[in-house]
Amino acid sequence: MRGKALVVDDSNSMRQMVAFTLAEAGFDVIEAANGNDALAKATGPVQLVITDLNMPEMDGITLIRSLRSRPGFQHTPILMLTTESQASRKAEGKAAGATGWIVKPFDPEKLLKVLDRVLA
Amino acid sequence: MNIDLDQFRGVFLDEASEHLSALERGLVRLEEGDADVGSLLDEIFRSAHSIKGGAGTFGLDEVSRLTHSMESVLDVLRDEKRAPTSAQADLLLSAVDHLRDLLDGEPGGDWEETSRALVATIATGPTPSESSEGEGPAEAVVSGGFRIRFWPDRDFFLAGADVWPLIRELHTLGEVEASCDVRDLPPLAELDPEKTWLGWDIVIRGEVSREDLFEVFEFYEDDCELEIEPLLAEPVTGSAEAGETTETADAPAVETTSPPPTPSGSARSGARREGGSIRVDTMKVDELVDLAGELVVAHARVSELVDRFSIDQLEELRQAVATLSRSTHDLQEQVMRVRMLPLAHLFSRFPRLIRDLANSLGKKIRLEVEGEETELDKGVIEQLGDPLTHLLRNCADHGIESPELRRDAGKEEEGVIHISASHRGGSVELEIRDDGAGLDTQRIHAKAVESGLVGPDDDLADAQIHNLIFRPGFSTAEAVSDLSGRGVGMDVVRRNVEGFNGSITVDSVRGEGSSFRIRVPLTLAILDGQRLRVGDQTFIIPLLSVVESFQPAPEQVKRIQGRADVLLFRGQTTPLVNLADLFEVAPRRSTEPGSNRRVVVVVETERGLLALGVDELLSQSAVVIKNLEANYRKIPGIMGATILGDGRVGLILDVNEVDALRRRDRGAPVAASPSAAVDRNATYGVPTPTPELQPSTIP
Repeated sequence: MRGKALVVDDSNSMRQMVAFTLAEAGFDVIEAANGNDALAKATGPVQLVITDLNMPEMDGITLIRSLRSRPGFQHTPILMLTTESQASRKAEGKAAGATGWIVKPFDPEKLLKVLDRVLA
Repeated sequence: MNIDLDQFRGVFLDEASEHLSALERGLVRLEEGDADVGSLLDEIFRSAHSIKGGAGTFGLDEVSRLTHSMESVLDVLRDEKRAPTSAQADLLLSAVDHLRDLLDGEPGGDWEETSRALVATIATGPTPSESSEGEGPAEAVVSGGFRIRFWPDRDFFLAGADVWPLIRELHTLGEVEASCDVRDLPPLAELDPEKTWLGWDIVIRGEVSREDLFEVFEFYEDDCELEIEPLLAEPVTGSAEAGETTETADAPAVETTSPPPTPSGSARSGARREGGSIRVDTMKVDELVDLAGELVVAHARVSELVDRFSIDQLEELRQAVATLSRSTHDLQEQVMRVRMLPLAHLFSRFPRLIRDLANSLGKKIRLEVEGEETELDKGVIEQLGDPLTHLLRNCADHGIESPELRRDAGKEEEGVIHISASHRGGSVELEIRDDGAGLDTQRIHAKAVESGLVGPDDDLADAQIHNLIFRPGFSTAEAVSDLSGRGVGMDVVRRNVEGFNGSITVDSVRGEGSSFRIRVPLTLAILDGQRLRVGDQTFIIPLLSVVESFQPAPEQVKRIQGRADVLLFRGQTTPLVNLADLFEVAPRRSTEPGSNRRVVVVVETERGLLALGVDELLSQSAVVIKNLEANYRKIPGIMGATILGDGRVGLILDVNEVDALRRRDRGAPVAASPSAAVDRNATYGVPTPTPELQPSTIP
């Protein structure tokens, strides 16, 4: 077990795919459908957060900012799920405290590679 | 690790179709102009974006490219917070149509044209979809390797970064030699352990591209100084980039847009999966689990009592069984609810339909929707789509008049079509109402006379005439137009509706409008039935088709030409068929009651009324429909079977098929044997045939 991972996306298919990939990689996965939902579910420490940016109720950028201000989340790797067309969003996410990003369309191999990079 | 995501294709396709509906709804609402443009555009954009995000993963290249174009347009609109122009709205809506086809695995028409046209509506800027997609800059693969100078900022660790994983990743790309530069390292006493003081000089050898290397550091390019230069003075011939000796991380990042992976074998996009799935609210599932728990407890109580039962515990046992049956009933109800979906799924496509119809007909039409939260069985909802669409087309085409005509008639120029749904006992009633011209009673009557449906001198009430439009063969050529025609008449609507045990009626007032009412069962799995006894058999008739049940007076039953029986019912002759004869059921001789106890059940079939002779009326109850073909074989006249309370099988009649059987048998003598004929004569007390009867007015 590699610890807990929080996956946040309003798209069921995308969230399930990411969650499935992480579970295969040995994570205990918590799924949330938007920022609010994620903040409610992230009660204990998690080892990894992957979040979409465009979501109803609370978007990814706001979520990242809120998580970073929580005790225990200062150094948690937080990855954004973005598309290549969102270059400015990457910078915005980075400024909010994101560690990195995963580019959509989602490719599990790529995610695993990025995990190796951000998880010591 | 090999991770197969194909199992999520179904989830994606379901979700994509919901997004498409949301997109469509949002675009129509934007056009109506009564909404908060900003948040609506956000929603619409999100839907397009989600479809694009998933499409790439499943190799649906066309879908990603088209949604990309939609996004480009929506992005501009969103920035400017303005609704699309009508040309843009048309294009976006036809893009939705293309997407629907593509996701269904169909060719999708000239989607590329739509995509191009969409991008062209953006006044300035490049065409993002065409120029960037599929032709990313060629990667410069330098044989030999690179020298990397990597100086993390002092606060590198605070950004959540670490050096070691980066170097480890470089190891996967080639042969790495890393040396640490410690010249900035302060004396131990002054060293702040939370800061980075080291620099790295890394040499990597092998078939590695600059892109690969940048990718390793891509998250950290703002948090470090990075220089990557080719190791050897062996520039790759023809490559412009090889001429550069130094590239710092401050330079604009190279954005590569590699084409989405297209798994071979899925060249045909979409590829609808078999079966289909239902998304169930977790609340419903939780309730199911609770109920199942209660059932287990109730069962345990009963078996405990039975194990060591003494007669003084009878009352206790009775209560325990009552609890058990209540739990069973609750569980059954809850399981049925799993298949229930709100009608909103279906209604959501209608605003778009009405918009398009109004535009192409040059009419002004407002659609009002009510009761979209009403829940119905998923199967029923799916089957309702076609008849409702047809009715709406009809209302828009024939019902609502042109703005000029309406003005002349003293009405608002804008016509209203109102669609509503509500619960009515064990069924749901849908109403589609318009405030248009109403049905032309005279024309329908004339047409019906012409096609032989009614006699010229038949005296029919308006309501009866109106309902003639559901008769087969009543598609008037005049009534057929581009929109609602298409060779499909109202009889098909009626057949569709009756296909799931529904019924349809129409009310209309000339000049004021029409109202179509469809009554549908809540579910396809359970049917409200009237149980009947015929001989030793129990049959079930769908309650919806029952008009009346009664014991006929002897003079009400007549025989025509020694062949077919008719029942005089409400002043008309109605064909009468004895179920015992039709299904060759032996009479229960010893206990058979006298002839005056026999009963007829008058049912409504698609071709008119039909009377069924039975031995006894039993109770009305909901029955669970079992497929007979799957368990036995198809029997003409029978739509399915159910398990009766005593464990025997009861057959459920299909009244339309029974009617067809009767017609087929009419040529031959009804009775299979003389004894049966005698029995039937005795049954209804008909001593002699009565050839002087008038032919029936309703065949």
